[in-house]
Amino acid sequence: MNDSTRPAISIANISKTFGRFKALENVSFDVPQHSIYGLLGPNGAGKTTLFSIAAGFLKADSGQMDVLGIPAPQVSQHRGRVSILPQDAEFQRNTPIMEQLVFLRMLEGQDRATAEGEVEQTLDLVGLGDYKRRGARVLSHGMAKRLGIAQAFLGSPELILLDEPTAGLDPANAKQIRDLIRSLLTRATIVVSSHNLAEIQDICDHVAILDHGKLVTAGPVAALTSAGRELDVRLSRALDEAELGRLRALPAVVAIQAKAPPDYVLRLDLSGGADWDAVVGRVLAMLLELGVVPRRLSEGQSLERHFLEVTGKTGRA
Amino acid sequence: MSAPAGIDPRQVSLITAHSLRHSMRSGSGLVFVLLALFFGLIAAQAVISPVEALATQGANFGITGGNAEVEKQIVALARPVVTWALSPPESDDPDAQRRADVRTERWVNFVLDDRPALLSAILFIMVFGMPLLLGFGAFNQTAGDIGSKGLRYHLLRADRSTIFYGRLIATTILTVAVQALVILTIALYLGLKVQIYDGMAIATWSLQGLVALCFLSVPYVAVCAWISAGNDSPMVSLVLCKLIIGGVVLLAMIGQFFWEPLRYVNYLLPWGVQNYLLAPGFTTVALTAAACVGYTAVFAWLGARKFQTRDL
Repeated sequence: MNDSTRPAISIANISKTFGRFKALENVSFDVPQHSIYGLLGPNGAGKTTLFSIAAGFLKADSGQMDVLGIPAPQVSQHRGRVSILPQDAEFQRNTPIMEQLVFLRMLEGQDRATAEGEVEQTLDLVGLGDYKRRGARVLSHGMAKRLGIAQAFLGSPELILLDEPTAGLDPANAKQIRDLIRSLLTRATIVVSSHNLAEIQDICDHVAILDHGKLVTAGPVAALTSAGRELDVRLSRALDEAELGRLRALPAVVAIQAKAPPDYVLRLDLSGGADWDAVVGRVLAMLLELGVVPRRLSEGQSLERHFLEVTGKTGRA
Repeated sequence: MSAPAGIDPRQVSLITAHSLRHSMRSGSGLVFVLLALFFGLIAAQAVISPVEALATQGANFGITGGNAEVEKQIVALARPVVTWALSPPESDDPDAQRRADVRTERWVNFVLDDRPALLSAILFIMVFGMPLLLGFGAFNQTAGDIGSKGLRYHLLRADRSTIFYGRLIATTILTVAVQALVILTIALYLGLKVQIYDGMAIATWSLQGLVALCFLSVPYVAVCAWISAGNDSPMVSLVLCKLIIGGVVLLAMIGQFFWEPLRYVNYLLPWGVQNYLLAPGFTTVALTAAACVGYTAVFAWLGARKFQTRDL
């Protein structure tokens, strides 16, 4: 397999136990190059353990994981090609954050002057330029996350692992982090773990779902959700039964849920190869024909429905 | 000489420099510096002050000779104690015992007569006390960063051996620098204030003492590195360092009265050989230094292996 077709991460039958607790059990899937891959699962599903094995922090009990073509335990040999935002890892409290990041870049082989330039630029980008001479002890939780993300995007890594990048953040800070990740996107392969389904659907094009240490499903988000994609609409008025019937009669529309009229959720089945834009266009045309004006229209959380189906859960992941 | 596989000398030097700065900023290194200075200067004061006090009192009563005369008298008084301290365990074989007595007498004459005696006393106190103090400077080489997971920012960028040895070297440099500062302070005080000995004699014996302390320190720093690599908690690491380093010598000292072979427990660490770093004769000193290097190699290898194979 050559470099361009080889998966960024290849995981084969990975298992890991902590005492009697099986954190991972025969997990296998590949992360394609240049994908934005979401790792989903409830707390304790094994997401962080999988990340930690990929980054060489933990040793798997059995199985094989290759990261950019070399076994995960030797991943440090990549030096700068792989980076990670580890969950709950702390920076040194009293050492200036600029010095810490420059040190990390120099470990990757960069000279001091270039490293300082890169770090200053990245710290400005994540809004921490004013804190570069301060230790990590003065940073809030959100700022510390931003610092972690800054170190993960330093240089030009080919593979970036982001473990729960928005965990523990308030909605405003979480959105800021998501926007930051989007703004920093390069041609790198990015793997994001989260138990926030909306976040994963928002950012990722591929997803793997873990539950109790086992892989439940994996693949492109579009393929996984094609049988159950959703369209959230708010209309100018509530629809009567006859109007709902006409909407249901449209191709690919399988169900309509009245959340709180005039708010509706249309469930669409695109598994037969129907085009999302074409289906949405037909729905809009029908609404206008009925004399109803759509006030808001957005893609619903179809990944959440899929997640609940495959894990058998009833609430949020 | 090339570095072992996986170890990048450039990264080792970067990690060493970063760790040195971090240990001073985080306070643990600073605490060790202050403790070591305090211990060294207290040891020096305990040895030098009686000489100065007696010399002052003698002068008040019209007794001449000053510090030098008082030092001679104190050395004469201390000779039996020093002989006892440097004597090996008694042997049942009379010939072996006789040979041991000759060796001990030569050693006592060397440290009390051939070398500045007060400085010898200070060096022996430091050789005994420094291993007990070293844990304060060496307990947190990796444990704290394992616990806080801060090490994870480094693990994708440097091989584990590189990180381990970089930090070990940083701690060793800190230890040597602190001891050099203590010895320099004592040597200057003895040379400029007490004025009993020739300056060159103080300088050469101080230098040999410092080299002895360096060889002595490294195995204990390596033991602490091993302990630190096996723990996630700096506090547990500190307690284990103190218990193991202090426990070995205590068990040997006390245990031998109940069961004689327990004195050999001393040899688990350099306790059993370290005094010979201040012995007469190049061969004895060189062999003792080689033993310390051997202890270091074993403990560092065990520590690196632990650090390599554990979950971080």
